[in-house]
Amino acid sequence: MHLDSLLAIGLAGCVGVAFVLVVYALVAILAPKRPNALKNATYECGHEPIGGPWVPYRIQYYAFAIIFLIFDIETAFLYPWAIVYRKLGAFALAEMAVFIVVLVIGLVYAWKKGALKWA
Amino acid sequence: MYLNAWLAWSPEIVLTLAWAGMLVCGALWPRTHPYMRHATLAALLIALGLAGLVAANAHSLYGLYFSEAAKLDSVTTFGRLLFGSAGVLVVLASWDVHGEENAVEFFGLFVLSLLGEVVIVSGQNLLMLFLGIELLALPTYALIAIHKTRARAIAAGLKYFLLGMFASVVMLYGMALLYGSLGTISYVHALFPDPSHLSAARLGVLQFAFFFLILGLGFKVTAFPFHFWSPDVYAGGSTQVVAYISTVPKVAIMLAIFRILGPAFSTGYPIAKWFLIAIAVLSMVYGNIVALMQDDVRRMLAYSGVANTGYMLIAIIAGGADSQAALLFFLVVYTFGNLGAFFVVLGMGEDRHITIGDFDGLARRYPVLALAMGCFLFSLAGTPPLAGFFGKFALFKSAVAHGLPLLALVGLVTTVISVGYYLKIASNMYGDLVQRDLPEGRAIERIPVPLRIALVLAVTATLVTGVLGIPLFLGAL
Amino acid sequence: MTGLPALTILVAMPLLFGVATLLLPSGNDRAVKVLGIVGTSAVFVWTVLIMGAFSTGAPGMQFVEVREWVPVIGMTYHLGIDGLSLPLVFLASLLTLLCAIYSWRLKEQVKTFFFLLFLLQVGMIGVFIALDGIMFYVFWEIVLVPMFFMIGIWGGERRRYASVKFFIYTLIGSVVMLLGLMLLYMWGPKTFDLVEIAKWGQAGKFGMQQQLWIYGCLFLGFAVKVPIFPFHTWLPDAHVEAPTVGSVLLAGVLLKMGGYGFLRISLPALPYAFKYFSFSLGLLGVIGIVYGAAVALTQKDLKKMVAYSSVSHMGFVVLGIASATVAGIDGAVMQMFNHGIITGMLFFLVGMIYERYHTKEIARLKGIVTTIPVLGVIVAFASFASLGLPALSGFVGEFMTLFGGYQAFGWVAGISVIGIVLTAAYFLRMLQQCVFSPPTEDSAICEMPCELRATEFLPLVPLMSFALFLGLYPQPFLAIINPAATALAAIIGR
Repeated sequence: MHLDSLLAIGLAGCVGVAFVLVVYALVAILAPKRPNALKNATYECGHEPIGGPWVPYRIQYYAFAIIFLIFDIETAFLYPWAIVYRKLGAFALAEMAVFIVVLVIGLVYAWKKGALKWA
Repeated sequence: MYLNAWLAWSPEIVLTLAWAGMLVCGALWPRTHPYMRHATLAALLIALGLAGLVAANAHSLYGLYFSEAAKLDSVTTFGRLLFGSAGVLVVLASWDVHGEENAVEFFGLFVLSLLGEVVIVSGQNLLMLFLGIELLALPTYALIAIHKTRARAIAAGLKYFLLGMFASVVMLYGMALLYGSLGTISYVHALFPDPSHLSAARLGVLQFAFFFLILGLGFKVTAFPFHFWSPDVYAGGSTQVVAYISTVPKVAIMLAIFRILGPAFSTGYPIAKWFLIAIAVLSMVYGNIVALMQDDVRRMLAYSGVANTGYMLIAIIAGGADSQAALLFFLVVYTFGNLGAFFVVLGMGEDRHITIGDFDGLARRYPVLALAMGCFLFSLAGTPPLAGFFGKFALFKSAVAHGLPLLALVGLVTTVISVGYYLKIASNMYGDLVQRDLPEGRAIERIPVPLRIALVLAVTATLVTGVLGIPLFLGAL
Repeated sequence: MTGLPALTILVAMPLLFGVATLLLPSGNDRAVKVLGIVGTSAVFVWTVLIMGAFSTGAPGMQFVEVREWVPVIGMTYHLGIDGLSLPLVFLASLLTLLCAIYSWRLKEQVKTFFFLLFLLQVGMIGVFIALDGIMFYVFWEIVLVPMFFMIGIWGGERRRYASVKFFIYTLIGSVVMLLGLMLLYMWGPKTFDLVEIAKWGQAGKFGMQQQLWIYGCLFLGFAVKVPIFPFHTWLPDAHVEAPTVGSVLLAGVLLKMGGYGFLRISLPALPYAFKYFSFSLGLLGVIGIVYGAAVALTQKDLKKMVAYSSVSHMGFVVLGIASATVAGIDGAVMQMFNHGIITGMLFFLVGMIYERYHTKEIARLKGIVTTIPVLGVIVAFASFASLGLPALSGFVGEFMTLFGGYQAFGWVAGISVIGIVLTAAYFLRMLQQCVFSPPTEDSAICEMPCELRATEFLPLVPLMSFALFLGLYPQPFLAIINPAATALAAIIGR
């Protein structure tokens, strides 16, 4: 039973991949190709590109991204919780409080460590 | 019921609070950094005491908790006590090394990984297992990278992280397949049911899934051929961290494997069983032979860890109550023997390769340190009357009793191989004992007192479990 | 003595003395040595008391102590002593005492040494009185550790190689033996109690195939220890590198553990397999006798020669055991005791010679009897005892094992006579060369003082007395051994 549903998922995945491949193949076959120097240049808002494309990013991007991700996922947790909240009562409230407190501790730590500073 | 749950899981609550407190205090008041180690030690001791109290009230507190997601029983208590004691030793060994710099991160992550181990052992379904493994693994990746000599440690940590993540993903795939074929992730009543109730196709998928599950778990316990990361990582990380990750996580996951497989496994799933036997045999043979060729002691211990995983798997393959008792006993022995051996290496110097040659004449210059090392080595080698002998004996006997005498023979013969490299160190330490006119070897800096205490405790544990503890220990299980 | 757990005390005494040695303040070597001699004397006296209280003529175990210990792994606390083990326990106590006396002049690491000596004694005595498979194995293995350190710390040039080789080689045998013990447990009465296992075996409850497998496993362990040809290669290395005391105990007591194992476990528990292999075992014994003697004849190193003579002499033990006749088993135990006495004496003497001449090379040693008359005479005495001169004890054991071997295997046993002739040849050659020939210019020179000291001479006295006394009147010892040997021979039906 469960296997069957897995099979369906697998099948859907295969169809998806196949669709993408087919589209790419069609483009490769049908589209006209007339490349020139300007077309092959790196696109940078219509300006002449300055410097190489391999620019090192600031490490803070990643720190920001991770912290953002945590709170993003937190929201994802909060929605279902809000729906069953009435059924579960005070226990659910306490559990979510613990969850948020843990997150806040992490945030405080990150903050104090300077992860939110840009410079 | 709620009150019971609070009481039953009080050790973990204490550790969590300690972790939270350390993180907040450490972030807000840098002056508290030197006291992180005290806080960790205190929290561990309190948690150990509470775990003891919980065990004393087993009749009212043992049982299933959190919608059958976690189980409090003698195995969980065993895990708590063993992880806690090992944790205390590791904290003592790290006392001076991580006193100031990175103290919050080091001890905070350390406590988190201990929590992960308890989740692994008490968990009753695959989701808890996965969460526990991640809670354990993520901090250990970082712990490996925290080191004074940064570059090598970071490389080791990165390697550990990438490979570990890969193993986790593969394991997750196995878990998904298991859920697909069984329709449940709970192993309250053994994950592997009696195969006569399963269709052939489902049985096939189950064994296939088992392969992936073991691949993931085997990575964490450094079973051959999933061990390849361990020598590099062990040689790169700081010694006390390596001492920790080479023992305690392995213990936790071994206990979890024992829980997952259940009684029907050893009779009902021949292919999966042969797969495990192959892994066990290869781990024992490969680990010991390669360890014999190592010169760096930490790499040697890494390979000896591979071999010891093979020995532990023997109990898991044999199955049954006596095998469980044997496994638990062996895990205690292994934990203290291995921690102790790494601590001696730590005492000999932190920032360099310790080779077997460095042990030359150790007994002449540092007799107590050599005696401690001898104790750990002979215990790991399985020489009576030290604990290691009884641990291995119980394992091999359980194999013989479950109709696997050849597996026991492999274990016995590879044990002899292992004696080769353990004795190489012993004979280096003691070979020059009566020669006075030799040049002095490299001097060792003064060994800090906490590390000395840790060494004494580890020696005591090895001796006590060996000489006095056997009747008590095996009798109680 | 009745009511006391005599054997527990016997095995606990050296352990306690060993711990007491460690607790003595370091730096006071004399106190350690005094404690060492007092302790080994106490153990020896206690052994003699047990021997006095032992009722000769009664078969079966005496001073038995049985208690449950670890039921989960089928382990019991079971000690006992009978005619087979009593002479060997006596031997272990005696030789340890003599070694303690001999070590009076030891200078380096005295405390470690005496601790190891006591630990060794725990293992040696324990093996012979343990009646539980696990206890037997534990004591068997405990012996290895102090011996490893004795060779590794006080040994000669190649001590590291020799000690590791000794340990690993004997360990290979032991672990396979452990598998055999586990199989005895699994296929047998689900206990490691050797008495229960023997009962099970004699009731014929082990299958024939099972017996052969178990016998093979146990054989490897015992054969390496004895050592039976071709498992003897560790012995010369270990002996050559070992210090005097290590050699004495290694040859004197440790080798006996193997022979004892055959008699205590293999024979009573696996009568079918024992009979099945008895001819092959006897043949290996005979080969050992001849081979050991022939190789000894070619040796240039005095100590190596004595080591190979051990291989040869232990061949007689194997032959006697394999015959499984009353005379053979009597003779085997007798020969084990005699070999312990005589070879112990020889190794003491080699040690003394080496200390004086700083060489063990036979070609460089000359005229010992003219330089040090007492030493020369004793070397001659020990050599004659070892080559089996009638009226000295070596003869009794060899004769009885040969007699038993002849009863069981006929002319094959007779081949071993070649070994006796070769033994006479290499000992007489050695005596002629080293002891009686006049010293020449290039021969090694004795460094003063040459005369034997009291602590060197004292250990030799009881050994010589025993060699003489048992050669003339072995009856008291045979009376102890005989009931047990008769019972064992009856199992095989010879």
